[in-house]
Amino acid sequence: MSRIPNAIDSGRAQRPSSWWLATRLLLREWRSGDLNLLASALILAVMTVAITAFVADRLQKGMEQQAAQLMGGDLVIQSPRALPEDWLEDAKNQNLQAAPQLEFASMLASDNGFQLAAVKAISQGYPLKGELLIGQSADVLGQSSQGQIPLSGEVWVDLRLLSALGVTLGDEVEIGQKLFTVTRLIQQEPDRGGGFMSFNPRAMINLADVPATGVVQPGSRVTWRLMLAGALVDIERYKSSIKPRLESAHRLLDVREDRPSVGSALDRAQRYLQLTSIGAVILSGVAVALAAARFARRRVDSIAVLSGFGHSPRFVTGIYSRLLLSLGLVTALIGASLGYLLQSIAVSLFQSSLPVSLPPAGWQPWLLAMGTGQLLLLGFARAPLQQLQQVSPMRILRRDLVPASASSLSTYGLALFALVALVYWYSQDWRLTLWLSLGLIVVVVVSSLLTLGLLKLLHPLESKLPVKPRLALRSLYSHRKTALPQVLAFALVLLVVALVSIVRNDLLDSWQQQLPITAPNHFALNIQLHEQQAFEQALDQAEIKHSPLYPIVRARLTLINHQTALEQVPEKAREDNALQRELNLTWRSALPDDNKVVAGQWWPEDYQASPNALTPLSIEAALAERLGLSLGDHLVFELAGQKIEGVVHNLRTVNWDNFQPNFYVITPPKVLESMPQTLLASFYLAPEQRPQLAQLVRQFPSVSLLDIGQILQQVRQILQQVTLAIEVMLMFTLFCGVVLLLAAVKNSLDERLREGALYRTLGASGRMIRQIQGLEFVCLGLLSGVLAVLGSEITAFLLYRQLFDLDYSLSFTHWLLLPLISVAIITTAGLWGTKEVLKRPPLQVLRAR
Amino acid sequence: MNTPEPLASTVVIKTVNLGRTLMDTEQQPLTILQGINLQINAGDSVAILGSSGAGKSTLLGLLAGLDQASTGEIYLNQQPLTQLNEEQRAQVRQKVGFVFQSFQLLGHLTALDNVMLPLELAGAKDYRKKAQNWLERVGLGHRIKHYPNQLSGGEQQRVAIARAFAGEPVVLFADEPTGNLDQKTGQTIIDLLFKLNRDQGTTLVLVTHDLELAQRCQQRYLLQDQQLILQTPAAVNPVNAEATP
Repeated sequence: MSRIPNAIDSGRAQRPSSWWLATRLLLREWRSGDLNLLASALILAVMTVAITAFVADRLQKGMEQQAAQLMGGDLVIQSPRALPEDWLEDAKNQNLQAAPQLEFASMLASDNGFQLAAVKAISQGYPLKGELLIGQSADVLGQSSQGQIPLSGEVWVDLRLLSALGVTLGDEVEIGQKLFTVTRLIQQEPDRGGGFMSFNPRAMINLADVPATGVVQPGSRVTWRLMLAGALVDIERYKSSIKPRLESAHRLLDVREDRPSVGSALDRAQRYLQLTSIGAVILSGVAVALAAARFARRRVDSIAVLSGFGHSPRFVTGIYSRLLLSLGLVTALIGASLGYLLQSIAVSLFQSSLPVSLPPAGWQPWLLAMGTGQLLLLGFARAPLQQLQQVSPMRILRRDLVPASASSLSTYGLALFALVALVYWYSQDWRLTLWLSLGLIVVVVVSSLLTLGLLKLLHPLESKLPVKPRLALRSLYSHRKTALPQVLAFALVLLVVALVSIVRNDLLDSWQQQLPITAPNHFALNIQLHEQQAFEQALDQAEIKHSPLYPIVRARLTLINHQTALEQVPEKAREDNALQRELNLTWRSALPDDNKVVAGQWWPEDYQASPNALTPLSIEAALAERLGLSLGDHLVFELAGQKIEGVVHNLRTVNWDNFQPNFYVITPPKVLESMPQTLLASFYLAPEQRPQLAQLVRQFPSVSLLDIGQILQQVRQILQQVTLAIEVMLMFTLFCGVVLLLAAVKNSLDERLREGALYRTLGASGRMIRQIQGLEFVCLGLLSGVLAVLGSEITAFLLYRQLFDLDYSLSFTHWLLLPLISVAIITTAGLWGTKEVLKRPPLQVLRAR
Repeated sequence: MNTPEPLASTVVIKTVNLGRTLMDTEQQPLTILQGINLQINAGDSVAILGSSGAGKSTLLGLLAGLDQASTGEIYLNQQPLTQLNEEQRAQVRQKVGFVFQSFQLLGHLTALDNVMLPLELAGAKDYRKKAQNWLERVGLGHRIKHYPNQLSGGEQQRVAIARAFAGEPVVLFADEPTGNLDQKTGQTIIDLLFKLNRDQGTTLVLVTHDLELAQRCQQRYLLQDQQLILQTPAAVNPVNAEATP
């Protein structure tokens, strides 16, 4: 608080504090109604941001919760060695539920045969998230285990293992040195992996029974997991406390890492939620900027008068700054509360269609929304206010003295700074911030140049037009300095709405394509070459839709550039799974559909191997990155004493989301055909075809059938939730967009009112004025619409390429639709907003000036 | 609706029992004008005097068809304004010119554009030439491309006068035309206004509180206590204007 020292004249009353003046001014201005527009803009801004932040926060938490079920917990620590005991204790001390488990491969033996199985030894509490469905038979849907786990001496098995071992419930099987009784059939396991290469049939035993089996010895290949669940804060705290203690062999898994398909859907959804929030911020920024400019314009006279009374413009604008700050605080509180209320209503309306109930929002959205309000005020309202410092007291005498306009650099620079800061705050992602800011700058600059260029181009043609379009065009041209920000504002609002809806459509499309209802829900692995025909026939006879049979050669990567692979890879990759086990190799003449070559080139379809040339290899890009492989590297794979030598010919990305067979290594045809191989197929099994699966298991006992239906179902549910989130966000954005367009029109009302009044004194009829104004709005709408299409295409292009990893294509419907919608909304809103022009007596309007 | 009484062709403005009441901020009726009866013939120059807030501008707005009366009748150029809708009143206004105290030029238009505007609105053909011609007549032929903020107050008022006369009005309403100008400039502007008025044979209705300016008009009325009082050139006692037919 500053007090002006008053040493000269002690008899004069001391000047009141600026804050006191500001508060009084705020109350007075509020009463007069002149603050309404700015206050509404701020409340709207904070409310919009609050709604998106609250909804995004809750949906985000809901999605993570849903996804956590796929992992069996919120957080998993995985290690090839037993984890330190105190980690479990620490977790329990930090209010977390914890359940250790151990997974290993072991041969199970029964009276009727042997089968290699993936044994999972579980402890009390499993699964921490999701449901384990167990039952007595394959034909009846099982029930939730409800915390029950195999008792000591019991083993639970899945259908494949049951068939392979030729046992029924109650029979005994051997694991290592211990005998177990089969007591339950596993029907669904929440944390069954999504990949398909390590799928042995499943057996579950009690963790306490492991020592008795004697199969786990020092050096055995096992995976220890500590499953953790609890409140988000506790999880996060535990995560940060454990991170420094992790060794290179330990892996901290959350949903994203554990389930790439779900992870990428979540990532995209999160990016989308961010995008809509940022969209809301841009919309709000536009609203605040327009309202603040109007507010400042209307303050010019007051400042001139106060300056005339002996207060420096700096002092007066200082008071107005404080007024705005107080206003910002009050409106932030109102806006955030309204946002909280509205999102509660919206979520409760949609709750019934959500697969899980949404957790309540945290405190962060409050902070985010209210902080955003203040930053918007700073970024978008500061410049017009600054301009008021230039008001000359002379204006009391000469009203035509207008303050010099704030430099574009300070106006746009400050706004840009606020925007970049906000985008970064929201996304915590420099890439998104960079691309979005870049997109916006390009759009603003291109739009400004186009608008001004077009108006200048059309200006000489005016005189050839009939009177109404001539006057409309002239008004636009001569108002170009004010029309430009207006067009930019309209275009930005439309752009945001268009972008949010374009991205929504493409995201949903890509998800629908990714997981159509009839997406393969089963994999058949280990089909022997001699079974190929019979297996295909069996599927066809059962009318099961299936993929072609892909050959698989399983080989281990042993040498990289003539040195052992372990020595060649970066240190952190030494314990990489890809080096511990055999990789799946296949051959193809053409690039698989969902794959993209990112380095090198695919081989020609008619590729012929020359006798001495090394085999070209196509490597999955992420694997290559982890192992430090690049084009031209020489690799050797080994299988059963045979070698496959080749050079890295290209790197390719693979879409792991599609639940289709994907391969790490591909060669051209003919190279591997002589190697020992099995076949792989995927197929869709309708629920009513389930009995045929048991038949298939019996007919081909050596074929591993893997049911991923449950995983698919869970992923679909997550996508459904994400879709809903996106729809809700789109709706809010649309709503806010329309409200903003109305506000923007309202903003130009003062000038239009006066112009209309003057036109009337000059003999124009009401109808004529409306027609001229209508034409002006049509031009504004058309221009904004075209710029919005252009801008949304540019921004969408950048975002798709850089962030969403989606294919970008021009949408012609948008080119047609957006300008039309723009013209319709802006003209309607404009004519509605300016209807007062004809209502108020012209002299009253003119004299009020 | 009353059938309008035919007026003598020389009568340009006539009011019968004209009144205007507004609602004040507390929604209480506030009478500004009451029982005004006035008749102005073609070519007359009439001054309406009165103190600030007496309702001069309100009366002007009513006479020009810009505002609606609460009671009574107004005839402008033979047309019963109170019985016309906005579209029809706009048509009548095309034969009316305005000069305001605050000039009321459109700041974003050049002097030429400002003068062209009423001509274009009326659908005149050679609007550009006519506007240029008028700007030359007011002595601004060399400044037609200038914007209002590049012109002095006197020059702005000249543009406003050119704009007012360009539409070849039957009546010209002037609302304190020199109120914003220094005495010398004001004098020049008034000379110009009266000269053009004479040349064009226009009826002039002038609202002012400047007695000297009012002296130059053929008739002077004083607006006081919501009433209009005719002041004869030598009058000591004001005579109620109702005395005129």
